[in-house]
Amino acid sequence: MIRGITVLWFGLVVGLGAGLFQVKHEVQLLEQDLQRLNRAILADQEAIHVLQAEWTYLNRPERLARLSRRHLELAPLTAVQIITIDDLPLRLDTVISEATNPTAAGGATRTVHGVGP
Amino acid sequence: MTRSGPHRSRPPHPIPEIGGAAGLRLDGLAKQALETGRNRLVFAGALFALTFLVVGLRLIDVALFKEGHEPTLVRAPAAESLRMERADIVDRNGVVLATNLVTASLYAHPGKVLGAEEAAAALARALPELNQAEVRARLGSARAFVWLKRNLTPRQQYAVNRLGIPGLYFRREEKRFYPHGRLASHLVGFTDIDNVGLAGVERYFDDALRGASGPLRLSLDVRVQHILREELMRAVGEFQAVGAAGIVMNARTGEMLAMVSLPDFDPNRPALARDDARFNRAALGVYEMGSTFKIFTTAMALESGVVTLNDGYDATDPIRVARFVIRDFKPQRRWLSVPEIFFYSSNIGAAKMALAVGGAGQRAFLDRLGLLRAAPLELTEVGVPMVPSPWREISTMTIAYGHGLAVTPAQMAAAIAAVVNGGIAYPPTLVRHHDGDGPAGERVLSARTSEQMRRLLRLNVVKGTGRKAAVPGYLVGGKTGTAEKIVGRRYRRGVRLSSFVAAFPINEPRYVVVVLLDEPKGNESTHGYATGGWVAAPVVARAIARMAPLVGVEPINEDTPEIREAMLVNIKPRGRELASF
Repeated sequence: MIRGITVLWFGLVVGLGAGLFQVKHEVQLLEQDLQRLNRAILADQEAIHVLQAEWTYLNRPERLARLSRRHLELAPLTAVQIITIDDLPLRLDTVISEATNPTAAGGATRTVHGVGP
Repeated sequence: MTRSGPHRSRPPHPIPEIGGAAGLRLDGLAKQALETGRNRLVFAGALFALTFLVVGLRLIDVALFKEGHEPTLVRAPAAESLRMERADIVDRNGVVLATNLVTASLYAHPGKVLGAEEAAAALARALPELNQAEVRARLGSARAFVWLKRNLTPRQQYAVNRLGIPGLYFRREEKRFYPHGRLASHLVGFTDIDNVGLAGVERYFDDALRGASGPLRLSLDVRVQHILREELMRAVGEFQAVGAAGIVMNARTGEMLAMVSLPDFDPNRPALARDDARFNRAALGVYEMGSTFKIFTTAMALESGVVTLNDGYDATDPIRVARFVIRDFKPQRRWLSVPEIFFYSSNIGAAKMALAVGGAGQRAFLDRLGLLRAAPLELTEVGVPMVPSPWREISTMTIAYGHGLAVTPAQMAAAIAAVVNGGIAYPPTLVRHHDGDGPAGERVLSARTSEQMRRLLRLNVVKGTGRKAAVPGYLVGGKTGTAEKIVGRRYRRGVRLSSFVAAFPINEPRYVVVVLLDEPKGNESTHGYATGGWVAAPVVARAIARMAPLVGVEPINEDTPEIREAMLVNIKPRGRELASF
């Protein structure tokens, strides 16, 4: 009887020890993993930092203007090109009905903002 | 020998008999020892019992009253985030203006370098900018550490590594980098090789930048800065000016969106810059501004109530005071009303208006506008205005039209903002306010006077000297200024400082623009004129036309009755009502 209990306890101790060792080993591996990841994050952050500087350098307004002149046909926006939502005719059918009915053509021929001699 | 007992033989030495006098004493001692022993046992037992009790209670506590499971949140050692030696500087939209880049710096341990001669030759081949003789001397020195070259590029580092010379090492260093180069050189400033701020914001915020992890956010807008700089550069080239300054300021907060000073320099190579290029004309340079000061004179006269827009002064003859003669640039030789004085830019009228207010009143008014003390900008290079002392009557008269008091363009911008924004002076700043937490500002002018000034400024662009500053849709109002520069001790004819100050949209001003050209020369396109109206006003117009859509100013139709009504000025020449604009 006593022998049985002793053997049981002994087995339990060995089992726990082995389990503990296993868990500890796994934690160690995970910690190494974490450290590696942290280092990688730091390296990435540094790379992002450098890329940000490069991005800013490549997006200098002076350079963008030069590239735009060379490759695009864009000109600075003038006030004439900007109108408010109120300046738009409300619905197409009203425009058509006004166009077909010359007596009510007032709304269809609105002048755009700022145009004039 | 007697035997006292059958079991064992007595030792040869006599032992004291129990029960004798000596026995009693011994008995007492033993008892005492027993007593002590028992006490100690009880004490130790109690201690153990207590400890077990505590452990037991804690067990119960942990098992029953605390959460029974493992903590759900495992606190991993947080990844340390990247920290540079010096924080970035960014513009109001987060565009990087200054940042630190990691570089490698090459140093040597001369004792470990085998063959200094060959090593120096190889290094000079890999890094051509190194002086071979100097490297040779350094590698031959007895010291344990010599710098060979700071801040190598990755390519250079690779080249050195490829040489495989023992005794050479790299140290990780950081180098300040300005991606926008010259764009905001005076404002941002620069640092030395050890990243200590030497100029501009870099110097003013040196300590803060070294301690901070987040970027420093300036009020600057890179796009507006670029537009203003480009237009100024164009004007400098066109009119052969020796320099120029320009400012765009938010009229309602005092934030500077752009501050340009030409000529400028590359902050990545500050050592190559001439002193003239390093000089910040916008914040450090003080200038006699000329006629733009008539804005303040007129506002002051209207505010103090000595005149109304219907009053005026006789500007027929030049004023002679002491050895000075005050005359008009384009004399009208008649009585002029206040709006006429403003848009004909009459020096005589302005001087008389200032005299009507008086020197003390003028001084107090200009001081409230911040024109008599250095602007509170976040720069170490801020110009202190040159204020006449004593403030004589002749000072009052000349300052009325912008001579005799020299101020910086930055002060000018802030003062104009106060005049047009409804009368509230905000301290000019280079650091972005968080939304809605700017300083409250100080009332320096009544809303009514400010409103009248806006009408006058608009009138000047519609009919007066500032016509070239008009931009369709953006309702510009402004005033020209042309001052003769003092060369040596005298004002020199033909050596001018031409400027234009503007605000837009003038019915509800959001931005103030100040442009100043130093010694422009007239050319054919301006019929030989180099006055503010000919050379500075077009710069303002082009800058506003380009920046207004970017900063979100909505164009308005200038011909609607409401706008015409809001901008109306009645001009009443004496006796008859002639025109109204």
